[in-house]
Amino acid sequence: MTDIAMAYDRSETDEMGIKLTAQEMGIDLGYLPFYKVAVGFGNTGFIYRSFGKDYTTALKDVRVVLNRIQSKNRRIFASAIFETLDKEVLNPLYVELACQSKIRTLLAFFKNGIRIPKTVYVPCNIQEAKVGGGALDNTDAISEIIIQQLGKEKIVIKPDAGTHGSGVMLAEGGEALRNKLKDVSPSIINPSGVVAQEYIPKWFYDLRIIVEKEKGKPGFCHPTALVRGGFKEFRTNTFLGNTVFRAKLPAAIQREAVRCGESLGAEAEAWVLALDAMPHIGDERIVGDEEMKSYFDALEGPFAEVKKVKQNPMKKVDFAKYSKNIEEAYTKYMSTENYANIQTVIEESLEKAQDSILFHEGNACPEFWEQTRIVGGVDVGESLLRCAKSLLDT
Amino acid sequence: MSIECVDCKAFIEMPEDAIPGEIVSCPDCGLDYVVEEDESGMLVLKELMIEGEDWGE
Repeated sequence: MTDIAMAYDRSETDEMGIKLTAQEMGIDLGYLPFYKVAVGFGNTGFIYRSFGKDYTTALKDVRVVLNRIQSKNRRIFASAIFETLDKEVLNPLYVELACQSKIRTLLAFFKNGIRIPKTVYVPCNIQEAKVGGGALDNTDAISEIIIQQLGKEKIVIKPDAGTHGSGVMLAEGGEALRNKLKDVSPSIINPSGVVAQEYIPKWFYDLRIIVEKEKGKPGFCHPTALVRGGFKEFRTNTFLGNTVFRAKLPAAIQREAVRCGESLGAEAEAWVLALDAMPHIGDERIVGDEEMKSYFDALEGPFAEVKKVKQNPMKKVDFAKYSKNIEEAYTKYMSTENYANIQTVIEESLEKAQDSILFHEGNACPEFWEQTRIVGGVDVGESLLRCAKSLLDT
Repeated sequence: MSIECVDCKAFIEMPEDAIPGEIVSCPDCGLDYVVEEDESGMLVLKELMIEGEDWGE
């Protein structure tokens, strides 16, 4: 086995991309499955094996583990296990824990004076089982507490540990809030209580910013970011039909992003994180909505071509070919006039709003191979491998 | 028939008595594949996709 290994439960294009990048960087990257394996420990020692293969000895030689496990909960177990075995893990357990929960992330930002959306956490669940049968419905009590703090015009409800915008809801008015709250129940992505947030008038976009820290160096923010935008959904996630752009980040945003990374990274020697942030634009729109919508409408065709390539079911079988095809598709999309029109508006409005950016999420295992790398201009695979290598330095 | 596992590159053998819908796991990493019939009626192994509730960022 090698000095650096990547652990994952199921590879996506990101993990295939990390392997490809490792080859290009001349790094011999090992592999640790973290799915149908037995992680056994007791007084007789430690074992790490699948049904057909023993990885125990190989793991002994590994010094740094890139934790690329897709499941957030599983990833936390993995970091705990590998750190117990004295491995350096990227990202470390407490960074994973901070990023797993929106509340923990926001508390870390709040403690360090970073601008965040006003957030209310109500620990109580909507429904509680009564002793002797039946249920206590706390909908009214919880909605009153939230409205008292956030008003009732526009309130965002989100699961504490959700991904891809799932379970994120916008309630406009008290009645809507009560109705939406009925859908909130304890689950793997929202273990307990209700998370509510003020609605930020971000116009039509938000940002995904990559920050990293190599051992022995200060934190660093990549100077370009991925912008997710559109008028289809208040959630800007691209899984929900929005599209993507690259934007240069003003220096003030880069500085604040590094502070966010340091808030979550704490004392860790190395970390790589994706931060989600929103500009507070409000009525300060430099172009009318109708004009912007016409640019987006005209971009649908070129973006549909990208989606067609993404749907290739053989992407993992011939990954190098898929990567080339998706790069070409995005490059074509990014060379259109309407893309340039929207990008210009984003960059100009970001310049104006650079001191009113609100950070609201940290991601310890971001997806990146397609959008962040090609469109956003940041190869997170390179960052991860660079930071992992820095941990080998004594 | 055997295929190379997309995750760990181990060889996975198609069982001789395999039937469409059957699940075959990679012996080395545990990744699951489903037996499917292709257009020519041949049995092939395709990676089984799982809907993960707390997956992805």
